Parts: sequence; structure tokens; C-alpha cells
Amino acid sequence: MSEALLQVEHLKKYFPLGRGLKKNASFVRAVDDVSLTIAPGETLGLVGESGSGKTTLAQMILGLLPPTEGTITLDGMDIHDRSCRKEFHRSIGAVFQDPASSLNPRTTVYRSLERPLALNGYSAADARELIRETAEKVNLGWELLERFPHELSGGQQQRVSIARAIMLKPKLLVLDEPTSALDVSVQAQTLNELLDLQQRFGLAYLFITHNLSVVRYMSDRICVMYGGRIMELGETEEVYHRHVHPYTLSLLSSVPPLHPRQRDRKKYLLTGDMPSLIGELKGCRFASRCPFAREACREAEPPMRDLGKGHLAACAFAGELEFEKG
Amino acid sequence: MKKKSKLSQVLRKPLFLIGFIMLAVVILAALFAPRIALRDYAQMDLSLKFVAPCAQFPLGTDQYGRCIFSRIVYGSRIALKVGLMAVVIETGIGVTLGIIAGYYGKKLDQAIMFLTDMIWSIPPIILAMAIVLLLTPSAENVAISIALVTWAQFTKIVRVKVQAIKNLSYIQAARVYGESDLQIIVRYILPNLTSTIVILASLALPSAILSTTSMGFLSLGAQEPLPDWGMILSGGIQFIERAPWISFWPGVAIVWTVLGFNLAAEGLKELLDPRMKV
Amino acid sequence: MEEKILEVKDLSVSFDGGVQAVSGVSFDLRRGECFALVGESGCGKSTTARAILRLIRAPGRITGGRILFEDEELLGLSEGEMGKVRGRNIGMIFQNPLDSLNPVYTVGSQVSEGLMVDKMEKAQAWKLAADTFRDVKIPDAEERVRSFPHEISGGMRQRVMIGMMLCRHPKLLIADEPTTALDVTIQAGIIELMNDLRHKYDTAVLMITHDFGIVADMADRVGVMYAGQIVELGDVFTIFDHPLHPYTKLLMKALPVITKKEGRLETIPGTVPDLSKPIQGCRFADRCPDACDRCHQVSPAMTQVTPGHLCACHLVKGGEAHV
Repeated sequence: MSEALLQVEHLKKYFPLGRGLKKNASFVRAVDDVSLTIAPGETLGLVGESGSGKTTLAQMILGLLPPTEGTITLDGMDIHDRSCRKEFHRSIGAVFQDPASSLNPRTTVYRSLERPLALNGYSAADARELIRETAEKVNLGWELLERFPHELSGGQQQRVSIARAIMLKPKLLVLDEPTSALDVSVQAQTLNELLDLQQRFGLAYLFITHNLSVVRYMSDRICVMYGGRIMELGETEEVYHRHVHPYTLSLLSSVPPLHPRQRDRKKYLLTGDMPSLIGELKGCRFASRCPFAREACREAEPPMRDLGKGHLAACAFAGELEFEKG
Repeated sequence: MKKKSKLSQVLRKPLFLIGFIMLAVVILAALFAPRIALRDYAQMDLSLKFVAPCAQFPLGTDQYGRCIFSRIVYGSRIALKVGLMAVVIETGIGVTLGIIAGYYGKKLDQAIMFLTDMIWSIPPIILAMAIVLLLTPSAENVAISIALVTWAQFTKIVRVKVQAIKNLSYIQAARVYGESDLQIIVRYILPNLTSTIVILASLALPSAILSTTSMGFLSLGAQEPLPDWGMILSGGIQFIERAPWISFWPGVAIVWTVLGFNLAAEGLKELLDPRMKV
Repeated sequence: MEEKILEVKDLSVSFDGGVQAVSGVSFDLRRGECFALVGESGCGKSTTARAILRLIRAPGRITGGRILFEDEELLGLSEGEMGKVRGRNIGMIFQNPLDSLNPVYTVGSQVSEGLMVDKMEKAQAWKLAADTFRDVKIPDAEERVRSFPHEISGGMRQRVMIGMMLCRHPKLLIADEPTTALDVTIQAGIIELMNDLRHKYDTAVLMITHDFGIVADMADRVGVMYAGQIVELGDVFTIFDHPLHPYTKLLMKALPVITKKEGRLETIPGTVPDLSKPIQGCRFADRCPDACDRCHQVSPAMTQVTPGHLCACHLVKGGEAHV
């Protein structure tokens, strides 16, 4: 895919363990050889449990963490190229999980929105015009802008964060669990607004969440991560209904049902804990908890298998396993 | 309005109120020393040596016939000046290093923490004495030496605070929309540190003053004829039986000042950040 | 009719400054049944749960109503008698198990301590603690009893809490968002465990949650709370298939169960009313798409629509919604 907006190639992040002057220190392989792309205007949903590396991946894409290895290209530019630093910051935006800490508590909402514009050389009058325009887009009343963040509700705070992120018309928005701190009714409103913005301005989203229903509603494609690696990647409905990776199966069957009728569905529950990501790792990372694991899984890292239509799965037996439907 | 009621609440606690009043006395003495003092602090008159406290010399005179009261009043200037200088310098060093260690982490953090631990492992007064002797004794050098041995506590506390603040979402967001490291530190991190810094500095001031007078006692501080409280006190020791007032009154001044500053600092802490532990 | 073990009648709790966190909540639990209180943050579901164990701390206060546990009025008991009810007859688990466990004791000793309160020998209590760990499916139970809370994962801690509560065979277990802090795969295991154990020991469960999925997975009956009141109550199948209250209906449609190609989620306009001020009429009226004059003036009472299905809405009458 040459027309990709974001291209992540063989990205790795190893955190050194233990401080001090020890040599040969061991590493936590938080993100280990991840490659993915996002097309313009597309939403890629990134799902995984805590410790799967999804937040570390997002931080690297946002330029907040330097990768240990690998490249990230946004709209044709290497994000670590200092010469296009300004351009990079304009092309990407971020919304984080906790709405309360996403805004500077010491300044009014208006000042929080004005700052990124000032950094990009907007005059006070131009900034005012753009803030007014953006506030309208995200349904923020003008009167709210003169308030301090603690005087707003969680949903309103999150809308300010979204406004701040989209104001400079970025091409990619990284949304890190943007609605998990919100109530269901507020979540619905926020998700709808995000979809409207995407349609109107052709924004691409990297939508990170642990909520599998939310990710299905939002995404064109879904990427499932486990233990720092991609397990399965494909179009939303493909991953939902024709998943081939046992981890995706377990994850989806863990989601509480939509109706009490589905109580007695067949569940593939995981036992044990996520394996340690320290040191040399052999074989498939999911093998220790995989109900279908065979000897070969513990021996060699499974290759990424292409099942057509962009559906990829890192399972040696992808497509050969029989999953019982719930 | 909320701030005001908080202030009056703190002032209503008698100890804090006493602290602020004691503090005010010292500051007024330093500001208006020429008006309050009865004569020049250096004016000698050997015919008037060892005069006991009387109407003309309220606190008596020393072995050179200098007025103790005037010397103590002028001495407040030295104590405050050196104390303040020391605190400003140590705050500067400590906060800067703390921010660097906390914000950048990794190797820089390790290096700064190593330095901090080293400073902390040496008895401060002995190290300070060594530094003053190296620089030649004077009031300014006392301030520098005190600052050089006490900045570590600022670094430790500021570093931990910065580590917590820098990962707040709004600071991460600021980095995403392109704020530079320096802008992040100045615009977002420092404002979050102000109350911590003010509290730490106000608590450091009385101990800096105490150290100043200790150095003066060892004749490492301001030199004669400047009226350093510690020096007056030590100078009077040999005449303690003949003229006890020479050493007694500077002692009172030191205790008064240090106690006043400590009580006031506690009050300030209660006002700004009651939960903070130092 | 099965035997009722808990009856809450007209329970009201208010906080300092007159905030009516819970007003006039009534429901009951039958032996071995799972009843879920579901609602958004601030609706009073957790406050209700705590009020049952009289764990409301000042400035909060129970201002009215009755709480009958096996026909005994809990609000009339002395603090000492109440202490015996807690743990022995009614257990409770919370959202964050790390806050509920003492960090300086091993998890095994904390479980056995509860048993020793019931005059059990130490050795026997320790053995039973290990059995309990097996019961809640903690791997290597003999090893794990000697672990400290920080040495085990969040999911394991919640299993320890469940075991600690269930080993004294309470008749009622109150679970306040027990899986909210956990990953879905861990949550699924905890839910399955709670379902198994509840049938094994015939323990009634009062489940407090914001997640309709958990309700669907566990509950026999449901109470939907809004702004301190239960607005609809009924059998779980009835509530999912025929929700009557406008709030329940909107909330169900706000759940993302579709893809973006299939349409948009329903949203609920407006915000929750300020509970520190007296509210006239129905508390949902300002946000209700179908509110009429009467809704703004008269507070609707809970009325039975069909047997066991109650709803507090003027627009719902005799089994049929006028919407």
C-alpha cells in the first residue's frame, strides 16, 4: 500500500530493566517488531489487554517515546527527521484517556486551545476565529471556553481535548482510550461526534481501546495485540466473524453478552497470566495460554500469515483450527 | 475570597500568628536598623567596656565598649542577608537539577542522583566549613558554602514531583502539538512546582540562618567589626562570668529568629499545601 | 414465591449540603438470586450497596427507609451486632481489591483470620483457606496462600477477595463493580467464577455495575437506577426484551452493538440533574424525548406493569408503553 498515511515498519521498543552500571541488562520487550499502515481517512482499531504494548506503540507514533528499532513514516516524512518537526506536529493529534488530566488545570479552556495555535504562528484574531469555528464543530458552547477545566463535565472536557487535537487540521488522530472514563450515554455522544468529524474532514484515526464493542463501532480495520506483537489484523467484520487466531477468539468470547440468552455460549476463557516479556523469548507468545497450542508453537515464532483481503494472523495454524461458535 | 478565609484560618492558630509576629520584628529590625540602633555598631569606647545593661545601653556593652543592642539590631541584616542568599542559591541549584533529573531521566538522572547522594552522605556543617576555608571567610562565602551543602533536599523532592507531573495527559498533549522541552518545563512544570518550592525555601531559611550563625561562631563568616550574631556570641564566651549579657542577647536573637521563621514556615505550608511532607 | 432474604424499603441517603444521593429505593433479593443494580456514575448504586452494610461515612447519612435482612431490621442494630452481620452473613467485594487487602499480611492469613473470628482452630482455618483458594481456581493454591497482595495479579486478588468472602458462607454477597478495573479476559473468568460459586453455595448476589453486558451474563433480575432512584425493575429477560422506561430504552440503544456502516448510536441529550436541589416531577423529564407537562410536575411512582415488572413513568401504563 503505497498510499498509506501512516506506515510503521518493524517497530520495537525494549525498556532496559534495572538501573545502574550493569552491562548486559535485560529488556522488557514492550513492543516487538510491529508493522502496520493506516490509510487516509481510515480508522484502525487497536485492541489488547493491559501489557499488550498498545499504549507504548501509540506513544512512539506520537513521537513521545523514541523507538529502539524500526521506522515510522507519517505522510511521507520520517517522524524523527528534525527538519520536518513542525510539519509532523501539525499532522498529528492526540486524545488521551483521562479527560480531567488532559487539560492544563491552571488556565481557561480558551487558553488551552489558543496555545497550539500561538505555537504555529497564528495571530490572536486568527486564533480566535479558528477556536470559534472548532468549538462549533465539536458542539462546545462559546460560554464554556472561559471556564476552567474542573468546571466542565467529563464529556465536555473530552470534547475540548478533541477540539484541541483537530484544530490544526491534522491528518491522523491518535485516540488512546478516549471514552473509557465516560458513562455509556456520554460515550455514545463522543463516539458519534468522532465519526462525524472523520466524515467531514477525512481524518484518519488510530483508535486504541480495550472495549471490543466500541472498537467494532468505530473501526474499518482492527489490529489485535498481545505481548508486544500483532496477533491478528484485518477488516473489522472479518476479525469479528472470521477470526483465525486463538487469542482473538478468547478475547471476543470474553466480552460480556448483549443479551441474557447468550449466557450459555461456548467460552474460551484464558487461564494464567500474560507471560513475562523479559529476555529472550522463544516460540509464540500466546502459546502458554493457548487452548490449541502444540509442540511446534513453543518452538518457533509463528510467521505472519496472509489470508487474503489484508487479513493477517500470527498463528502457525491460522485457518486450520476449528472454533466452536457461541 | 477562598484564599483570604484560609489565610485568616491559619493566622487564627496562635503558634502561626506568633511566628509571623516574631518574623515581622526581625524584618523590621533589619529594614530600619539605622533608626532603631542607638549608635554605630562599630563605635568603640574603651572607657565604657563591660557596662551592664542600663538606660544608656539597654543590653550592655562588650569588651570594646560597643553597644550590644545596636550590634544585634544591625546583626539582623547579616543574618537575613546571608540566610536569604544561601536559600536563593540552594533553591536555584536544587530545583534546576531536580527538574533536569526528573524530566530527562536515564543517564542524567543517575548522574544527578549520584551527586545528590554524595552530598547527602557528608555532614553538611563540616563540608560547609571546608568550602568557606577554601574560599576565604566572608558573609558571601558563607552563603555560597551553605547553599552548596543543602541543595540536595530540593533536588530529591522536586525530582519526584516532576516525574509525576511530566506524564500528565495535558503535558503529553502539549508535546504532541509541538511544545519544546524548555517550554514544557517553563510553562507547565514550573507552575506546578511553585508552592512546593516556596514551602521548601521557607523551611530552609531558618536552618540557613542557624548555619550562618554557627559559621559566625567559628569566625568563618562576616569579619570584625561587622556584628555577626554568632561571632558576638563566641566573642563573649571568655567574659561569660564578668559580662554574661554579651553572649546572652545574641543567643536570644538567634533563637528568636530561627523559631519565628520555623513557625511562620509551618504556617505557610499549612496555607499552600497542608498534605505535603518534607 | 421464594423466600426473601433482603428487603430494602424506601431507602434514602443524603450527603452534607442536602445532596439526595439515594431517594426512596426499594427492592428485594430472594435466596440464591442475583440482583443487579445498573446505572451510570452518580446514580446512587454504590451508595445503596454501602447503605445496606451501613458503611456510609459522614457527611453521608441514611435518612429514611428500612433494610430487612432475614426479617431483621439492620438499621436498628448496634454497631457491634452489625459487625457480626458484615462478613458472616453479608460479604462485600469492591472495585479495587488492593485497597481491601492488608499489604503486610499474606493473603492466606487474611482469609484464615476471617474464619478464626468464627471460633475456628488456626490449623483448620489455614487448611480451609487453601481449600478456598482452590475453590476460586487460583493455581498453585498451597503456594499462593503465602503470597502478599502485591505479589499477585489484579485478577488473582479479586479471586482472593471472593474466596475470603465466600469461605464463611454468607447468605448474601454484595459486589460493587468487582471487574471494572480488570481486563475483559480476566473479567470473564471472574464472572464465571462468581456464577459457579453462587450456585454451589446458594449465595444471593447483589451486583452493582454500569455494564449491561455483566447484567446479561449474571443477573436474574435488574433494577435500573437514575439520579438516586430505581426507574425500572424486572426480570432480566423482560428488561432486555421489553424495556419500558425511556431511560432504559435510550441507555440500551447507546451501547455500541453495531458498526458505523449500520448507523449511529442513540444519545441522551442533557445532563443528570443536580441532586442538591429539590426536583419537581420526574427526574428524567428534562432529558426525556417524550416528556409531557405532567412529567415535569408530578414525580411518577413505581407501578407494576406486568407481574414482577415495575416502572416509574407516567407514559407507561398497564403493560403498554404510550410511546
